[in-house]
Amino acid sequence: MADAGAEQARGLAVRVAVVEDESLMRWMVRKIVEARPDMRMVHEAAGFAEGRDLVQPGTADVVVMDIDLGDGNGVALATLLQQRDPRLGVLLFSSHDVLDLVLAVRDTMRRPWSYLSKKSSLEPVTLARAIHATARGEVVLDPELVGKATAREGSALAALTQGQMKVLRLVAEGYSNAYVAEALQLSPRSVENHLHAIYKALDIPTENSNPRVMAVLAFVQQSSRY
Amino acid sequence: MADDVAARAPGLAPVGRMPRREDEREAARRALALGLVNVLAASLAAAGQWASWRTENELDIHVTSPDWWRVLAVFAANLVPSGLAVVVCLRWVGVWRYGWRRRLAVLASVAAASSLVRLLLLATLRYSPADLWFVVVEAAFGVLAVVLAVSLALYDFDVGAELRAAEVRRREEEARAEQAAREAQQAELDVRRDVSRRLHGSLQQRLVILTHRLERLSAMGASGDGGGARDGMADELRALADELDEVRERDVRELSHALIPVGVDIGLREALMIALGRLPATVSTSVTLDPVVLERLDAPDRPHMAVADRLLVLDVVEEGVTNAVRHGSAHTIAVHLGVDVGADVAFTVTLDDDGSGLAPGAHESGLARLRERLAKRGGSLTLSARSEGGCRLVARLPLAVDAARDGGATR
Ligand SMILES: Nc1ncnc2c1ncn2[C@@H]1O[C@H](COP(=O)(O)OP(=O)(O)OP(=O)(O)O)[C@@H](O)[C@H]1O
Ligand SMILES: [Mg+2]
Repeated sequence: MADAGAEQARGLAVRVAVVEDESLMRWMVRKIVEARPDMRMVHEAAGFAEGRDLVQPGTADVVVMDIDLGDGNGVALATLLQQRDPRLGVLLFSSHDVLDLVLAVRDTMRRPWSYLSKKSSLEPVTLARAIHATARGEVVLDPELVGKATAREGSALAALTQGQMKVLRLVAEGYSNAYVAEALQLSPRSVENHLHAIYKALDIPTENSNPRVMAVLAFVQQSSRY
Repeated sequence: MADDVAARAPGLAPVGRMPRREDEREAARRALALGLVNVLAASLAAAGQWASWRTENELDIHVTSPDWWRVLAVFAANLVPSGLAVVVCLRWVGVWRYGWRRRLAVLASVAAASSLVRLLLLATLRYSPADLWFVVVEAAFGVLAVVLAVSLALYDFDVGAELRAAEVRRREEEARAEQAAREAQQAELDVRRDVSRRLHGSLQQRLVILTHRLERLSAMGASGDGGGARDGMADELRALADELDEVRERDVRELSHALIPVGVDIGLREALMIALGRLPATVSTSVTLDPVVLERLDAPDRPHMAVADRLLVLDVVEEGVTNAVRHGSAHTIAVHLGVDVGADVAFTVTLDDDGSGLAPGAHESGLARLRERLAKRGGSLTLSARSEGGCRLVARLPLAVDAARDGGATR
């Protein structure tokens, strides 16, 4: 939560928009966002058309987007919104496991999306962490699905050591390096080292603008949750 | 196939376009009648003209009064050879079957022959002047009468053939649509049965058990007072919550996937990735796309592929992957979505696996069903062995020009 604190200190509360057709769900997201000083709710839309009209470019940092909207689908809307505003972060949430959508949209959108299941989104800490990390340009995955994922046989991911895998799982859940170090009782320096080893093993060039995101996407691609 | 011929050679007679025999015979009879009426009219005109010429002839060449039998003879000399020529062309040879070149060749020789016979007949009647120009004009008249008569008949035949072919196509289209509608109904019924069976079966059973456990728990709560009972209750509640979650995860989600695979409303690629993500960890898959597919056919904000087609492609991939794992023990499967511009523009799905390859004499079942569905959309399916080992499955789905009608984005 260090980064969030920094943003807040600079007076940059993350501006959140939510598009969700179930009013109860919308209300819960608002409650969670409003309870935190480092975020504020700027738009609430109940469907595709309303979301398209409300979330104008430059007015929000992250949109929390349900996939099944009554009058259209959330992926199409998020694509549209992000085309209008490339700086908008997208956090999908759905009751289905559509984690692979994160991969699917990667090719079309410049900025990859995050994904939380509806169940996890109801945990205030998880939702807040996902919103902050998404605002920073990271990809956050549903913690429960990350926990279930196992590396596919023969993949580069399967070749990671247990320690590296632990670090990558936490990164995929949207945790900062400082938190990872604390949780795994490592020094920040060795977390860095682990990350570099991971990039190398997954064949991600470190001069890439966002190796962290690439590593998380590789994690999705090379793992199975079934 | 008949349509192709006509489309590629528009100048040619619609060979083989006639799908129904009795229609064709009827048209041929019509052409014959039309041709005969034509030559009859021409002969009448010729005889009439000759008679009037006889009367008005002011040159003094063998003038005789135009006896009625002579007029009749001239009429017959006109009618019989031309009529025979028409019968030969339209009845014996049946020139309507052929292309223009052959039609012309037959027509020219038959017309020339009939014209010659006609001239000879007229000459035996000795009523024509022996002037060369007169002979040439008479010969040309004989040829023209036959050519015109037959051409008119053929024109009528061709126009009729086109109309009949269009009618037949329309009827076929209707039959196909009806068949498709019937099958769609059947498929829907099958899905309903399956869903209902699953609702009645496992889901209902599990809910019954859960209800029972909850009731027991509530009875325990009413009577129990000790701390031990409370501890037991907490554990049991926790277990119940887990069980409920599993019901949601397993039964409800699978059921909803059976109804409509997740993501299919969003786009083909999204649905594919979600479906492939479900594979066990022993299999790795990759999806590649031609850029044109991404930009034109399957952009998430404007998908141009009908949902039914996406479902079909998804089923092909699911069957292909299942086969590769089950029969070929494959470890990696590469899925490629592309567009193939061959005789027509078609969407293609290609699955390459690294399995054991094709066993000879394999009996098809799942693939046969898919092939049938694809054929109904004008597509095809082929399974072949790859030279580097493993199998390749290719499905081809022609792209309708109006594929854009399914604007899924805002629905
Ligand atoms: N990828 C593959 N690798 C090896 N053999 C294959 C592959 N795909 C198909 N086959 C062979 O082709 C046969 C026909 O496959 P098909 O899917 O039509 O039927 P099936 O899988 O046996 O039955 P069903 O699909 O109804 O469960 C298989 O039995 C198998 O022998
Ligand atoms: Mg099969």
